[in-house]
Amino acid sequence: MTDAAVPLAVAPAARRRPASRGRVRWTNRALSAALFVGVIGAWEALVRLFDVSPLMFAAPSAVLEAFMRGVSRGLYWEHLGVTVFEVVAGFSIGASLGFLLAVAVSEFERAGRLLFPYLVAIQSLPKVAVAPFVILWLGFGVESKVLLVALITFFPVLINAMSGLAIQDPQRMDLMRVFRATRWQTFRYVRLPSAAPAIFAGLNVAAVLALTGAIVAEFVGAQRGLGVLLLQAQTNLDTAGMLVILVMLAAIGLTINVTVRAVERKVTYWVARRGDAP
Amino acid sequence: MSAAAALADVHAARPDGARPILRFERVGHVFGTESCPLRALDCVDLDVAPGEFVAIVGASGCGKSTLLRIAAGLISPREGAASFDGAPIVEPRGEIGVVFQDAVMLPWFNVIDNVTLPARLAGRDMSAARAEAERLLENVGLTGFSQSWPSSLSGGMRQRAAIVRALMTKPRVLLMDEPFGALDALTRERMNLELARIAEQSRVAVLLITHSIAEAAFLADRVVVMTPRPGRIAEEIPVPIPRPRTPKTLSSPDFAAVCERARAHFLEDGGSE
Repeated sequence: MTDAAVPLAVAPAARRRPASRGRVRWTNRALSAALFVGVIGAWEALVRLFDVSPLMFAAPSAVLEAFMRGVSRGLYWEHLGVTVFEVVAGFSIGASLGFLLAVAVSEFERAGRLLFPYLVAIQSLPKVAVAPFVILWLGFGVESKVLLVALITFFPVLINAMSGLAIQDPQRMDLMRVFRATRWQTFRYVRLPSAAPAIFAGLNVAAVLALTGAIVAEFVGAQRGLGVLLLQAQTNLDTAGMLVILVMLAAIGLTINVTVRAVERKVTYWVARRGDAP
Repeated sequence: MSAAAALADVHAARPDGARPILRFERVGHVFGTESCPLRALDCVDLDVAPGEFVAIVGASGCGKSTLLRIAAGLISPREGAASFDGAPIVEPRGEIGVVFQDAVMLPWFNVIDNVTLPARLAGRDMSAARAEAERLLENVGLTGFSQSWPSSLSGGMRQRAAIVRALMTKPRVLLMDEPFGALDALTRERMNLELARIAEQSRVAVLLITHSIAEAAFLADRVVVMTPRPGRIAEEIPVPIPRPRTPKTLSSPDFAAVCERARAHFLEDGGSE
């Protein structure tokens, strides 16, 4: 009688992908490449057609030219390195502290209740607004940028991790009690994995904010970094140079985003996602 | 009283029935606030002998799940006491296994990791636990599924894995709270046969909670009928059907008699079954 149940359950696992899936994927790639070429082409054409002043906006060809010029002068690498360092260091510090505080708050309920109103109040404050203070305290170097990025990434991770760790599945808790799990074991095997999707939601938000924080802090006062370069290009009315920085920032943002999502997929492997089989 | 007579019957029929493995003595429990109390259990006396299979049937809200949670050590009763082999139950213990209504598989673990979770939590030798788990999984027809994810199993297979997990601590009592309540009727029948076989093989005492009179009569040595508000034992019905139980059991006159006797309680109650 068990045999009857077995094939029923095997069926979904053994189901073959539709034969046309590979073709669909290639069609999608071709379409998105065509879209990219189309957008760049239209941008170039519009700038030329309306004879837009290079003081207002630059065509892709001019941007590429500016980029090549910058590369040959070795203009970017140092600034790029500084900004990336600020983002990565600040994000690591802020996210780690946010996660640890969330764990502490969820383990010690009273502390959580006491802290919560303040956390909500600080959360609703735009953190970039404290940039002038941070610069005042720590100066124009990278330390102030790292601190601002940490501050800006701390809260989304904290709030999301707190709400994730607040999930109390009564059945899973009963299960762990029946097996006489210790507090640490319950945390390690049930509460942390239950909270993981929420924690990653926080990390995704934080990853986007981290770059914003670094650039704003550099605007407020810095010696090096892509934000500094962007302001210099603006002072020189070099729109092509400004656009080069914007493209670089977009590339950094995209890289961070993709990385966080890849880590998320790896860590929360059991979560079924929409569009998991593209 | 009929309940006392039934108890006497069972103990007479059982040579090793000297000391119950699980005992409820005048257990009562109240939920809710002091101003608005809700009496879930009232003066429940019940013994389960070693290796005995006792099924509690009752309508929803008759306190049978509360009784099971008390036996599991998950809650302490307001009145009376539950004891395991003479020792009061104050917290969960390894000799008492629990199977919940849902299989409660952790989705981040595959079947073998879920099933060996009790060994992992107790810090036992994992390779021995894995070998033991593989053997038990094979025994319940889950051969080759140890690396599968719980989400890829059917409800019945997940519940079988949950039973294996409960057996991993080598319990002497297995508490089952509506374990097949979420399954379809056909799967449920198959699981009943399976459970009868497991219980007969392992000689573990089982306290099964169910809505289904037929399930109770098919599986148990004794059917305990509970009535709600407050949860009380209305009658204990011995099931004089030999083991092993097979599909033929379902058509025996004794089976029909037990079912009829149990059903009478629910009919006079206004048919809450």
